[in-house]
Amino acid sequence: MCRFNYMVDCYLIFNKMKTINIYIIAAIASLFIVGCSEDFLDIKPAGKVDELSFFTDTTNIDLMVSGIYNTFLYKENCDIYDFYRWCLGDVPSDLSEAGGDSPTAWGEVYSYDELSYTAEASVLKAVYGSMFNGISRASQVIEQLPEARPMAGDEMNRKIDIRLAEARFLRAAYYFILARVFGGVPVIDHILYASEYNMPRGTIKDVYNQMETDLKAAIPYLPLESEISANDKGRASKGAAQALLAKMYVYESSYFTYYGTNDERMGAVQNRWQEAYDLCLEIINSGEYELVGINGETYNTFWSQETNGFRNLFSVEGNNNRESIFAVQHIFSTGWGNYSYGCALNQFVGARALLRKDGSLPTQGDHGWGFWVPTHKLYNLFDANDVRRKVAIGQGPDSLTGYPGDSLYGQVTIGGSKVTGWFTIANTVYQATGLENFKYEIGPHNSMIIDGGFHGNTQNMYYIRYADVVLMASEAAFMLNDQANALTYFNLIRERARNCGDGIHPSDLSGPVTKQEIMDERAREFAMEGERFFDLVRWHEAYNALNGSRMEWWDDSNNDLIYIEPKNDFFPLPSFEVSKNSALEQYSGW
Amino acid sequence: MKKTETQTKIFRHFKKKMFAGLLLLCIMNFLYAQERIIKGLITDESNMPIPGANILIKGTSKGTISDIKGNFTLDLTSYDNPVIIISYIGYLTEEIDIGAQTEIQVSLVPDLLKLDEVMVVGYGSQKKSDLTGAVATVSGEQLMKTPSTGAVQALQGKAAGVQVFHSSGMPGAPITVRVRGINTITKKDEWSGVAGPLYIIDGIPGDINSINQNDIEHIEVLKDASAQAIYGSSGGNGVILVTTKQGANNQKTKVDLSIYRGVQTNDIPVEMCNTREFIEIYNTLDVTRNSRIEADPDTLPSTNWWEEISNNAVMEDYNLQVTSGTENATTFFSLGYLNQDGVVEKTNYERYNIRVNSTFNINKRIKTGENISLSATRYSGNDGWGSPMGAINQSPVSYVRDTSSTLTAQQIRDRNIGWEGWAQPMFNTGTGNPVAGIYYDNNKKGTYRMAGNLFADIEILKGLAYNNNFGFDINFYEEDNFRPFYFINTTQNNTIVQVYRKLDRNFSWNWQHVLNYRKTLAEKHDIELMAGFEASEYLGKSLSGNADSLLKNGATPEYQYIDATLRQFGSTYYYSHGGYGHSTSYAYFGRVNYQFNKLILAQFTYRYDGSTNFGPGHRFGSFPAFSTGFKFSELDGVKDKLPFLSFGKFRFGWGRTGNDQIPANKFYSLVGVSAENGYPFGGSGTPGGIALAPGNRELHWESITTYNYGLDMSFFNNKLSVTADYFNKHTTGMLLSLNLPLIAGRYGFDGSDGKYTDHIGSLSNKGLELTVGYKNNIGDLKYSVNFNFTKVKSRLYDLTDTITLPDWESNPKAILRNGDVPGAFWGYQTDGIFRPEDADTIIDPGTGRARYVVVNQPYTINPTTGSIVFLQNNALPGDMRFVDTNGDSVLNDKDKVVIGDPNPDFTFGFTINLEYKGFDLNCFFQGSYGNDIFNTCKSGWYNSNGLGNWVTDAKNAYRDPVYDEDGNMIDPGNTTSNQFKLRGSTTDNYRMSDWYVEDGSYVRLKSIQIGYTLPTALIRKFGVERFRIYVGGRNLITWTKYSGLDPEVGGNDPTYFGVDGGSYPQPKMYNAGVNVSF
Repeated sequence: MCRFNYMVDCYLIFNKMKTINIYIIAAIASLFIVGCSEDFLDIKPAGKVDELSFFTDTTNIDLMVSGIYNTFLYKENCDIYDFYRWCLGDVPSDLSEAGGDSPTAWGEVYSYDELSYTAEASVLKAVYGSMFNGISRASQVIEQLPEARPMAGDEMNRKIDIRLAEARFLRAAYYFILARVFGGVPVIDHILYASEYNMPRGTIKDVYNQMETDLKAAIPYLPLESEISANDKGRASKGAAQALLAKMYVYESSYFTYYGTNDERMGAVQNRWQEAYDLCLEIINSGEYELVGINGETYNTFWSQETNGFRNLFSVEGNNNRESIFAVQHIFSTGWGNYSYGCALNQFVGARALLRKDGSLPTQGDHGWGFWVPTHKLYNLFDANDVRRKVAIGQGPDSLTGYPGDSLYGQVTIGGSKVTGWFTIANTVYQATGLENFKYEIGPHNSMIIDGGFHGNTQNMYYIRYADVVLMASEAAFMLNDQANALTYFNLIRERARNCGDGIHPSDLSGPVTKQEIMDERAREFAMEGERFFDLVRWHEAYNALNGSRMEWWDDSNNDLIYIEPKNDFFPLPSFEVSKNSALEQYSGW
Repeated sequence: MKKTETQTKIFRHFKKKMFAGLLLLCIMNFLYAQERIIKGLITDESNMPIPGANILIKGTSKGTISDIKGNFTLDLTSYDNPVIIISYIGYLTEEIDIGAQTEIQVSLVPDLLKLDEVMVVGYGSQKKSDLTGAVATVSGEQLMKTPSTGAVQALQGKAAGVQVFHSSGMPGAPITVRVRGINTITKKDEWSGVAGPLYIIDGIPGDINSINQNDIEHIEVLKDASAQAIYGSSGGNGVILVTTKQGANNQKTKVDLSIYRGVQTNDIPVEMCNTREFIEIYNTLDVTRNSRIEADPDTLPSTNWWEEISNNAVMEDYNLQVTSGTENATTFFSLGYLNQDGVVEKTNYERYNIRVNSTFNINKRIKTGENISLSATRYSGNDGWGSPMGAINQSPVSYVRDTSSTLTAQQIRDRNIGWEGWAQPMFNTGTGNPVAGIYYDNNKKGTYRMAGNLFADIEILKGLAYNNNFGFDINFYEEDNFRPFYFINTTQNNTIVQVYRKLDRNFSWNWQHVLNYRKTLAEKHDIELMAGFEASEYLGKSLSGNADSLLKNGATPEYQYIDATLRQFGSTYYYSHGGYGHSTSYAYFGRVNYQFNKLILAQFTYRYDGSTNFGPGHRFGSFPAFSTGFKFSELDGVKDKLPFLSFGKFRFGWGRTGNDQIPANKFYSLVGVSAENGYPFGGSGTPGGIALAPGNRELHWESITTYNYGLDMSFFNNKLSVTADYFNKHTTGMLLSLNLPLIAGRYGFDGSDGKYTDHIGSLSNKGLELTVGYKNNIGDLKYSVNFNFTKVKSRLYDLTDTITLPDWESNPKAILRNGDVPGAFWGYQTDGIFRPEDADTIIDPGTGRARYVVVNQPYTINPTTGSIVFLQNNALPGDMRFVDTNGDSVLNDKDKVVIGDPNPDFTFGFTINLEYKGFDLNCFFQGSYGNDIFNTCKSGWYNSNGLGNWVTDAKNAYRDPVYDEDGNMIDPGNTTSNQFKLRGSTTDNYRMSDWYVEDGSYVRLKSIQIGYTLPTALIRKFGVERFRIYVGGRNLITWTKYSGLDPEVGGNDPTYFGVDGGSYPQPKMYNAGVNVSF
């Protein structure tokens, strides 16, 4: 090769300088002038693979599709998926507040509570950006893979079909998050080229059309939950795609019902309550899912060896339970950084200051930081004996010792050795509401205890659980004036709660199902699960619930909430993106 | 001997005007002896002997060298009408017709203009008087007058057209060098910012930071494209040619020793509140959100955190140099050690250097040699809590550390003393303790380098020479970081004991072959031809690893090794990473110089360059240049009519250079496959593969075209010299790596993985440079004054988009926009402060509720609620008034305007040298005018909530009047202040606005040195040739209006330039030293 010749030639020069006639040297020297060609410059990036050869190779299919799921694990401090549910889906609502020592303990989280967030808020940018990461990764696989699909055996082609369907499900799942948070966003179904970087936002209907296309294309190929092998648990199932589509129909129909068809944000939304209802029923009738604990079954968790079914939903041992339709998977991960397999939410929002029963402090890692706390409005929504309140809300040592299984028993690694003991909540840390978020387990699974990190918790985070399908069925039936079925599904939810608790409370709803009852039941069932604010907006109830209300941080009227319609219905597009994309327009008020 | 008429005139002129009474003492003595030996004495203009001057018999290679007393003898037997040429560096070369003399005394005249100084240019050298391009030169001696950590630092203010910006006073901190303004805004990579000039060390591209500045003979800066274009693709950012010292043939061995030691002080110009002042301000904040501090300040601690983390610090430099030469070999050998402690604890920079430069004449036609340098630089720095701003902004109401066992439990609580005795601020828990931050910080970096070149010069024919130059650079970079376990509070802690180590191994080579041919035709046409070929390759590999979760107990810095014995957990707590870089380039180049009658000069250069940084089809670039010069002073009759004019030359140049300094592989679209990109299915992780940054196959060279108009003149027997240059430079096809819009789906990638590189537009730089020198003496007092001035105006044009930067930030501070300077500050315009008379209580038509608000501002009506929405809807008296620049009565991004220009209107340097008998004084001033600084520190120094400390000036902020229950004013407040009110809560006041922008102009007494050289007679008996002692200082006086820590705020990214985040200030230093020669 060129370089080699070059070395040899020069070696000659040095060695024979004295003896060889210098004219010959000059001749050799002149060879260099022509001695090199372009291949000297042709250096491939080492240890790297380029896009086209990767994405068109079907043997990489598992890697590509993991990469799409990977978006759910993106972290900026906390997991972005959890930030979305906590800061955007719940804290702005009437049922939870930003927690911590003081309102300024975490300014940005507080700004969602106070409705003072701006387009510059970092969570907004991170949600927008990471969801589009997922969308673009899905689009790449969907677009490039089929082109190169080999004439493989049936099994391989079946696998590719499933993986492509998963990619479509995920693309829809990410779009659903975007539409809930921002309303209409640019709708992209292909690999984006630099010439397309200025792209206007579509309406919510445009986004939903894309989702519907993807989900309908995915459903026929996706396996039933029961067909998914243990090694593949966590992948999208047929039920997941159906449930997401049903939820999308519920949202579209709600916008249609409560906002009409003239709101330019939603676009030409339609009444699809019937489709929603039918799809919910299809899921219910599939027999793939059940409301965990509806028959009073108990489970062995770190909380207790006889943990009730509803508590079990929010424990590590309850990961991938029969009610979990689709959940973000977490396993223990020692790594720090953006893509740990673990979950950080427990550490961020878990109840503060778990103490051993004798009052000693095991390590500082045994408690959460409490940045997301329930309000008394939520507390008061429950029947006092509704087990769902105890699972969602912690309230200081007295009430905590009472449930579940008396106190907290577990094994904790401290300084390298295992310590088994009882743990309880200390009532020493100030919170705005005096209430603690209890759905995110703090216990021996907490990675802060295990290795001092906070990205390694192992509780899965629901994207959609079966109870949602049941309540959606109830709501859709109600909207279709089918009171009988509305009540049936409504009371199914109550029945489970009852059978997980004292067997008496909450009692069945006897009167008619109303919008208010559905609103309240959803609030109880999905307390601290990031549904409330999005529900309020789709019901067009956010102004009524929030405007003029007082955050529990304050006891004077100076900081009473001002909810501005339509401004606060959706979050502003990140200013970063607006400055990059000249075709993007903020909604009125931003 | 025959001369042209012009030459005769020059010669005659010299004799008559310049050297009368100084040059020749001719003793007419015609001897026609068989053996003829001439004796001579060579002195300087004050009759001090010059040792080591070269004496050559013209037309031969025979000659000698003057001895220590300036004497020489030369055998002239067998030469008819001999003419000898006497030369010595820094003096005009003399040709003396010996005639029949046997003894001569020659008094050499200093070459003030250094017209005949040979200057190094790309792949060759030229006489200064023959230059047609814009080239600045700085001697090693000038560099050494300013105590500095390296040559680049010493270059500041020394040459017109070369702007040197410090971004931090931390030892070893990077320095930005701009040759003629902003040439490019493309970052070379994510970490090191925009590529600086190309540094060529003894002909080979190299790293100037590893060079001992004491080893530098001189530095040339190629400023315009006609000079740079021979370096083609890499010359666009300016070329700085460093020539290291060499021995001379036939030279007695000489030893030079130079030592200085100095102390740097930790003074800062910013005064922060003590506890009493802090509480005074704290208690004026709105009480709804902050509790008052009622405690007696005298019972509370008052900590000056800056004093706690800083100290006076030592800087020292030791150098030993040995030069020697025989008839056929020369050698230069040096040892150097430099140590600079930072004024902030645990910051330090150390450098060890060894250099060996030799030449060997193998025979009459072949000369070989080598220049080899070994260096080790090590530095430690800290960041985070230990940074100056972390300390300066910390609340004073705090103890620092108390580990005494006598404290009661109550005292421990009251004093907020926690883990290992570290205290936290008492009214602001949860922020860090800066001293603890530094205490637990362990961060060391080092570079170990062997670099140099081997060369052979072969004279093939008379006039035709071949040069072979092989350069290499082998270096290792290492980084060691250890984070022990500590837990001071929930925000300042490290719960995972971590060790990190990195080792980079880099190797590069560069091989050049150059043919050179000189010929004079018909006595009037001097022609020089050069043609060459160059190839280079870089190969870098890096390996890093970390181990987490080491044992908490006993894991002190001594244990900071990745060592299995201290692990607490299993093997998953080890991580390792690797990196690999490989690039190649090659080029052909050539140059033609033509000179007509020593009057008209012309030069043409061409380079054809290939680089791996671009994809197939875009790899090669052509870089031509042309320049011409006209020595108008040499025209017949000019000097007779203008007797004060000693020399005059007009220069014009045009040329094109390029810039390929962009991150590698940007034309590829790559995929990242890793566990971190994957997802856990069924309880175990599945790796994932995702697309990284999309590549751009159309990338090609940035092209920089320059027109240069220059004038070199000297007057009054060269006492006064003036060089002026005007340039007009255009960078087209400017490359920029930008974060992609979020919809592209690359959010959250660090570094360049989430970016897309594209051509975004053009940039023009127009400027003026002026260098003026004057040198004379009054009796025994010799003095010289030098002044240089650089004015550059940069403007963007042809941009397809307006881009705000940094583009990852939600509050960009800078903008790229047509017609503006790159990186112009971008933000809201303010118009003073709302006063009580601007506000009123109104009934809101929407809510029917009364509200007190500033009414004297634009407003809109909310269509849904009917409420009035003011421009600043929550504004109250004491808040800043922002200007609704677009008049839509809504305050948003659309109201942002350009609020400042971080680039100086001009920079300058000014040097005065005085010598009187043995005494000497050197004063060097350097300054910048018209640059704005974005002082981000102000948001902390005038913070709204007391979570950090205030500057003492915050006392003067706006305060509301205070009334008692009956409505009587009991305190008038301070409603005339121009500093907005410190509200106690976050407000609009801290928006990015012109409030942050300040004039950063300054003049600095950069260095001063007063020395005394002992009389030779006194020291010679001890075998010492020269003994000089001096005292001096650096940065002793600064004149500026800037309110921040230091007006020298630079940055290696022109799009984020002059943003002061509270950088480490340039310390003052007082030093003393000696120079001894044996």
